[in-house]
Order: sequence, then structure tokens, then C-alpha cells
Amino acid sequence: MNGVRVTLRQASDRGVLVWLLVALLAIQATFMSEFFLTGRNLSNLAGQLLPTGLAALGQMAAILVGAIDLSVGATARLAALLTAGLIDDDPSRVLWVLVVVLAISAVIGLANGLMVVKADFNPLIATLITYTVLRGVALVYTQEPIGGIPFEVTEFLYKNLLGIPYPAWIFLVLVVAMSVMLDRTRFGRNAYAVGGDEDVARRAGVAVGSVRLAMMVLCSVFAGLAGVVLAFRQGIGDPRVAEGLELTSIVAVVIGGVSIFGGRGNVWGVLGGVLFLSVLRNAMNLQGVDPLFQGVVTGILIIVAVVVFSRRDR
Amino acid sequence: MSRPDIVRASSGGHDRPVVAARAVTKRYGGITALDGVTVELLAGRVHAIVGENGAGKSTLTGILGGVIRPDSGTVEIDGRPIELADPAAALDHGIAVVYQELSLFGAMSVADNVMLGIQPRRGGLIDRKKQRAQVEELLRRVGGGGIDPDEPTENLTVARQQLVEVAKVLARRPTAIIFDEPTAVLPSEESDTLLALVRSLADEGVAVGYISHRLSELTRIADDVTVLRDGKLVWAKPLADVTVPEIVSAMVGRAVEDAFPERTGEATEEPVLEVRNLLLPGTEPDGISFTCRRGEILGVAGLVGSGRSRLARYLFGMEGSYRGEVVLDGRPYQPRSPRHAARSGVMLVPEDRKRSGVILDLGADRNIGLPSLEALSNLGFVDRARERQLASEVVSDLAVRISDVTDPVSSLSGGNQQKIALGKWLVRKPRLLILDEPLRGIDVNAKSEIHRMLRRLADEGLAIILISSELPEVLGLSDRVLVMRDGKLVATFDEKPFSPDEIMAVATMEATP
Repeated sequence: MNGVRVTLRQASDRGVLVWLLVALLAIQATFMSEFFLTGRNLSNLAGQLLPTGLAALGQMAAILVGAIDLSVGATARLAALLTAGLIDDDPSRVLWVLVVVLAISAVIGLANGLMVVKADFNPLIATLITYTVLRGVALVYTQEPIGGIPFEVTEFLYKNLLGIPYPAWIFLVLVVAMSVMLDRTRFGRNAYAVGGDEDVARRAGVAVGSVRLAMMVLCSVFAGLAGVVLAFRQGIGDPRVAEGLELTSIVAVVIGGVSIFGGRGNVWGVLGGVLFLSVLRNAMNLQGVDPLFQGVVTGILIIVAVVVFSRRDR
Repeated sequence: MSRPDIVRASSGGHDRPVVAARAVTKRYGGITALDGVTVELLAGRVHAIVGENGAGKSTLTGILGGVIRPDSGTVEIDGRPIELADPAAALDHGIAVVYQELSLFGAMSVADNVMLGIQPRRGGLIDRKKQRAQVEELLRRVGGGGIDPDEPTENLTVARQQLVEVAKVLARRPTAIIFDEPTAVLPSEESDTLLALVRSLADEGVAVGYISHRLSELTRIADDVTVLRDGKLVWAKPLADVTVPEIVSAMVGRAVEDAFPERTGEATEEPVLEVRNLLLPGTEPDGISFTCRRGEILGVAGLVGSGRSRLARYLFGMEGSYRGEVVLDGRPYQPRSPRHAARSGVMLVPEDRKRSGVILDLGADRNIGLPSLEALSNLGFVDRARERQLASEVVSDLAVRISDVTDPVSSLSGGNQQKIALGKWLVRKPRLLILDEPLRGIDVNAKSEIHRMLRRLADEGLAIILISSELPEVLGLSDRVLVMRDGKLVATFDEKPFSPDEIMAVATMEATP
């Protein structure tokens, strides 16, 4: 029994276990629904997956340096509303609005980071403050659906390249980029060190504060990007968009084998975690599970998964 | 046990120090950890820094490594005063420290640990091939040629991790290295390898600072010796000019004063605790056997890490079950938990007062009431009035200086906090009281008050085990003294007066001369 537990933990450590679950889920869905493997469904799946995946990549960056970010959902919502509201169906504005929204997201991350690094706030508290403020700002900005996205932009997210949907390509490129950054650059290595043991990292000469700050900014930029994609997909700014994205992103990261205390985990595990959540939701939709009941199923599965996947030692 | 000689290629060196701490002073609250200490590390020489626990060695290391900032005094590098803002600054100036506790990331590979922050790069990305080659070379240099650079460090033995740690420091090409008790975790063959490495680094021209309790080690590799005591410099001399007994007496220093309270209770032979062949894990096959009698203070001397605190935690049920036989009041005793131990009459005032002795944010009344809540409650509701009453009794009995018993313990001085930590157990009428470093960080007056209190308790019939790194305290207060080293009981002294030099020698040497 003990041996099984150790093997389980090693597998979850490397993010292997989650891929097994994804495979099982996919096989189950293929047998239970003839639609699961159709091009249209896979394209839809990829489209649903992208915002969750972006938020999870950002969350991973933050969690890796021991600074869990609760403002991810609120940042994504504000970004989505601003994107739709500022573009307002005008194709010529798409590019500059994208730049502005991402810059605002970076400033949000900077605020989070400065609170944590300079003012020594607990990350939970700092990002909870930001969450509350941003929810308020979003409500002041609009309480009704706002703006609009040009059709060709929305359409792009449903198109394929070489048989694979664009959202899947975008996500894959970002996953690879993130992986290279974490594994192959000094910055990435330093990030693992900061999350693993701050004092030890400092003694090795790592600029702990700057690394943490940079990762928190990166997290918010990813959250902003998630919001942009949500707006693009829905074609309008929905005031209730990205509800619960902070929890979803944290769950994807933890299921993917990243230590909630920082310093451990890899991007491929997180990719597995994102796939797991997306396929699960997709499969339940296809098999006609009552949407109200879906929340319960997801909740229970998350509890089980977190118990299995989160490590307590060290 | 004969160990190979370590060849010294050079003992020459230069006169100008590579790194020096000049008149550095560091205070923590009312405690002066370092008081105007000057130490110079010369190129090509191994400079041993010795002293009892709390003498200021670690503080000195921290200052040279950029972890601690001195209140006054300077750090000089090549004769120029330098402000070391953080460890990165120290590393930039060529000062590296091999810390006592390992500072490796378990999940990271050996290579990633060694080259953290200084990885060779090509086009912005880490050049793994080159990194691997560099790490292999470094590992060979430290005698760890068999270690796979790609292995996660957590899979290595502690001894090998220590070698990786040294490789990590060497990778930063320091001109001065300070080793903070590097052999504390190593078995003796590995210690020999490390000592030879330390020596060869000096022979290559590195200035080495070497902190250790093990005097036999120092005499094999050191060129110079500095002795610290109570945060002050006693003397610094070339090793050739001093003998081991001289070093020992310099470390112990103070003559044992007769200011300790006299025993007035009669000595009894009635045993309270009998320990027979108790095995602390990792110390097989030598079990610990001793008896603690009613009305006596049994001192336990030894260095930090010698197993004293572990023994205490075992007896208090904090470390799970042990092998061996312990008899308490004639009945077999195998504590399952601190709660169980306390019910049996064994109570511990732990080493780390602020983390496990008292709860700082709670009032004195609540701290004192905590172990006695059952007796203080009716139907599960705590009788606050009785709790305060009990606290008032303890406070007046132990002469705790506090204006109101509901004041948080954090507002009290160290000595008064310790009285609370002690008092909360006395309420439960222990049979055996174990005190682990009861006087650390406590001012002199409070110390002698606590001394008198302990004596009085013993005279009233309590059996007391007193663990302390302050030798004069152990010797002055105890009726008998045990000495521990490397998890073993190495000597028992039954008769006063105890000789501090003899006890220090037993505690620090691998074999009694």
C-alpha cells in the first residue's frame, strides 16, 4: 500500500498521472458519445480550453515562486470587458486595444507584486485585495453586456491550421515558450529556487524580489490574455465572464503536479491539468449531464484530485 | 582509530588578509551576539574559528557571507571596507560560505543546483552540454566524481549532498571560503575526504575560514586558530603556538563560580527514571543507560547535535516509539505523545521557547492554564476565573514580573517568559522535569533566579534533567553530569567538583585522550 502511494506521488510529481486520467476520460467520452471525436467538437474543445489554459499558465508562474494569485479571474474579466468595450466592432482598433489591455494587465500584476515584494503582504491577501478592487472597477465600467468584436476576429478562433484549431496552436506555442523559459534560462531556474526556498536562493545570490515580481506580472499578463480570448470568442463583453477562473486555474496547476508551496512542477503537467478539466466539462456536456449537477461532479473530482496530487512533505 | 595524515603543501601565505571582519558588533535585543570581534582570513591559510554554542561563530559567518549586517564594525576585502548588502554582494566580492544546514533544492538536479544563477549560456539559453562538463569537473575536484550531474539531489546521501554543496561554492570561484561545521553531518571517511579538500583549497591559495567543534579535526588542517567566547574574541594565534588543552580552556573560559545555590535536600537513591539501553536511531549499537533520582538535578552536557535534545523529545513522546527500556517510578514507560507523557508525570520545557514553550500572543493566564484545561473546565467550559486565579498563584510563586496576568507573554522579558513556560507544567505536579536550554537568551539576574527555583524544586523532591550548552551552568547546578556526543552517552561524572576542561574535551573529541 505504501509502495503504491509512493509510486502515485512520484507519478503525480512529474505530471504523469494526470495524462493517464486525461486518456481515460477521452476514451470514456469517445465510447459514450459519437460526437466527441468530431472535428467540430474538438475545435470547440480547443476554444474552451484556451482561456483556462492561459490563466493556468499564468497561475503556474505565480505559484512556482510561492505567490498564488487570486486576482486572475477578476483581471481576466476586466480585460474582457475593456477589449469588447474599446474595440466596439471596429476592426482597426483590435491591435492597439490588445496592447493597451495587456499593458493594464501588467500594471495589475505590478501592483500585486509590489504589495508582496515591497510591502511584504501575504500573496493571498494582496491578490484578494486586487480581486475585490477589480470586481468593483468592472461593475463601475459596465453592468450590461458591452461593446462588440468584429466577426472576422471571432471566426479566426474557430478555424483550423493543418487540421488543428488555431486556439490549440496558440496554446501549444505558449506552453513550449514557457517550458523553454523555465528549463533553459537562468531566470527560470532562479524562479524554481525562489519558490523552493527563499533563503537558500538568496544565499546563492539570486535576486529573490525581482524574480517574484516578474513572475507575478507574467501571471497577470496571462490572465489579461485569457480575458481577451474570452471576449474574442463570445464577441461581446459579458459582465459575468471569467467567473471562478482563479479557482479553475489553481486546480489545473495543482492537478498538474505543481507544488502549491512553490518550487516544484513543470509546464507539461499543467497542460495535462488543463486538458483534464476541459475534457471533463466537454464530456459531461456531450453526455447530457445536467449543468447544475456538473458543478457538483467537478467539485467532488477536484477535491479528490487535490488530495491525491497536492504534496505536503517538504 | 588511526586516520591518515593530511599533507600540507604550504603553510606560507601572505600577510594581507583577503577578507577581514574588523571590530564587528551585532546585538539582538538585549543579547550581544558579537562584541567588537576582528578576524582576518589570509590567502593560502586555513583559519579555524572555535567556541562554545552561542559564542558568536554563526553570527560572524553570517556577517562575512552578507546574510547579517553588523551594528558596527566593517568587513574589508583586500584591505578596502565593503558594504555587504546581501549574499549576492558577498559572492560578487569572492566570499562564499558553505552553510551548516544544506542549501540544495531536492527536486533540482545536481548540475542545476551547482550552477544556479551562473549557468553557462549560449544565445540566452542555458548551454546544458557545457554546464554538464563544468559540473563534472567540479565534482571530480571535490572527490564526488561518481555523482551523476543529472540526478535530483534529494536522491543522494547526505554525505554526497555535502560534496555537491562544496562544488556549488567552488563554481562561484571564491577567493575566500568559510565552512560552517561542514563535517557535522558526515561519517568519518567522508569527513577525511572533505578535510583533505579544505586543505588543498588553501594550498591553491584560497583563504579558508573553518568553523567546527571537533578539535581533533582542526589540528589536522588549520594554520591559525581564533577562539570566541560569549561574543568576544579570546585570542587568535597560529596553531603551532597553542595546544589542544589551551584551546579548550579558552573556549570554556569562566571559572565555574560558586554562585550556584547549594543542595539542601538529602540525596536519595530512589530512582524516578531508569533508562536502559535506549537506542536513538542512527546510533546503534551503543544504547544509552542512566538513572535520574528523586531530588537530583542531572545535567546533560554535549554540543548541539550530540543527541541531547533528541533524547529529551523521546522521553516526552515527541519522536514516536524508541527501542530500549525506560522505567518510570518502577513501571515501564513508553510515551505515545506529549499528552501521554505529561499524564505520566514527565514534562518538558523545550529548547525553542518562542516556538514550543509558550504561545507569545496569548496572555500569561491562558498559557499557564493550557496544560491544565481539563482540571479547569466544567462540562467543557473553561472557568476563566479559576484560570486567572491559578495563573496569579504561579506568577507570585515564581516571582514573574507582570502587571496583569492577562497580558500577552510577548510583552515579557525572556526570563519571565521562561518562568511561564516552566510554571505551566509545575501546576501539574511533574515527577520528572526535563529542561532543554532553559537559560538561552535570558539576562543574568533572571538566570540566577531560575537557578534558585530549580534547586528549590529538586529539594522538594522533583527529579530534573537539565540540558544546557552553557557548561558553567550545567556544572554549577547539577548533582551529576552526563556527557553526550554523536547520539551516544560517552561519559558520566558522579562527583563534584566537575572539571570543565575534562567535560569539554570528552564532548568535543572523537576519543577520550
